Amino acid sequence: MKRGETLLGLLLLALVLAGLFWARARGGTGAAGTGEGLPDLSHADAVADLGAVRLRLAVTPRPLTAFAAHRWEVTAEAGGAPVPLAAGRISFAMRMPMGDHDYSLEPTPDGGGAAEVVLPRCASGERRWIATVEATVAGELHRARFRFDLEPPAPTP
Amino acid sequence: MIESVSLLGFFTLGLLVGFGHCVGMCSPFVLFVSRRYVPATGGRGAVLAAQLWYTGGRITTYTLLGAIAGGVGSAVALAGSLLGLQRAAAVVAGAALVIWALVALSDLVPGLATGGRLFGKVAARLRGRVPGHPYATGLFLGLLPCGPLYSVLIAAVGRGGPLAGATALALFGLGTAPALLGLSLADELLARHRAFVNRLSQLFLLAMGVWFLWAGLRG
Repeated sequence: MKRGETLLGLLLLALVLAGLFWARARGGTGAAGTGEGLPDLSHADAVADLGAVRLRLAVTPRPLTAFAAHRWEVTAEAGGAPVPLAAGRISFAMRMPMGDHDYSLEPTPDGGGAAEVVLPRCASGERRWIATVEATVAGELHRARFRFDLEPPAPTP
Repeated sequence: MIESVSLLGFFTLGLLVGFGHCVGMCSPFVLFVSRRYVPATGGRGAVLAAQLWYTGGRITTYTLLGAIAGGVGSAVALAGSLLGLQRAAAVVAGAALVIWALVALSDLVPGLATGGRLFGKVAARLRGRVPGHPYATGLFLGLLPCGPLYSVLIAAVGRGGPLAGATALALFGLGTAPALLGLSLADELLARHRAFVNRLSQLFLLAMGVWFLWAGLRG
């Protein structure tokens, strides 16, 4: 009886752990990593050089904080000249699974794309996020990743 | 604009978050509920019943939060009103876990379990304070600060009304249930009746209680 219970318990535990790996793999959070080496958006706008195309990501207002609306704007340039985005999206992830944060970019008058985004705070204290931009420029899909740290919460009085 | 999440999407998100996040963060409360509400002689059915009540309480709170999110229509306003409440919930839940674990571990210190008057009084008071039903515990613990819950509330804000927001959050809560119910049954089969493993569980409850206290106080 005891042995049977142990086996059943271990099987359940294995299923839960398999679920954990499934969730982390499907959520893509493992791939988010720490983002070292990616363009850093924490304190200033950043540019990802993709060879033929450069994607610039700008955020306002600053500083970047959780639970505040920020406008994320993507613009593209090729050969030193601005080129319009045909379509685009931006998504956000961190190492801790935080649900879906996928936004479609609305066209802006200057040919870029923008989205208003509110990001949550992770209860673990983790503040590093990875932003992934997918933009169609001149008929080709380009993808760039950026990293940023949200400002720490203000001290409680 | 944020990509619209279908109702089924909220359930799937709950399922993903349940396994990918809640198994880590909420496991101390799952262990706590089994130990607080089911006597050692209680069987698997009693554990499952307690866990279902606890889950029902959590889902009720999520549903209410979803209704508020859908009604308020602004993630920023909602976050502002929830943060203080959730910090307080983390402190209370952390303190309850710490004291509960200390009471459970007290028999390791000679004389403390039976002779420590102050400790005995604290333990007795705590027993009186912790809600007497797992549903009430679930209602309260649904208020704990939780990143994925914030994310789902942000998505629910745009659903266009309290009923739609409530439905979305109820489905999210249901999605988180399989992982935690699976964990509670594994605990019942592997840990609750094995002295050494149960002792490790108590230490885990203590460590997580300290963590929740710290997280709540840090803000």
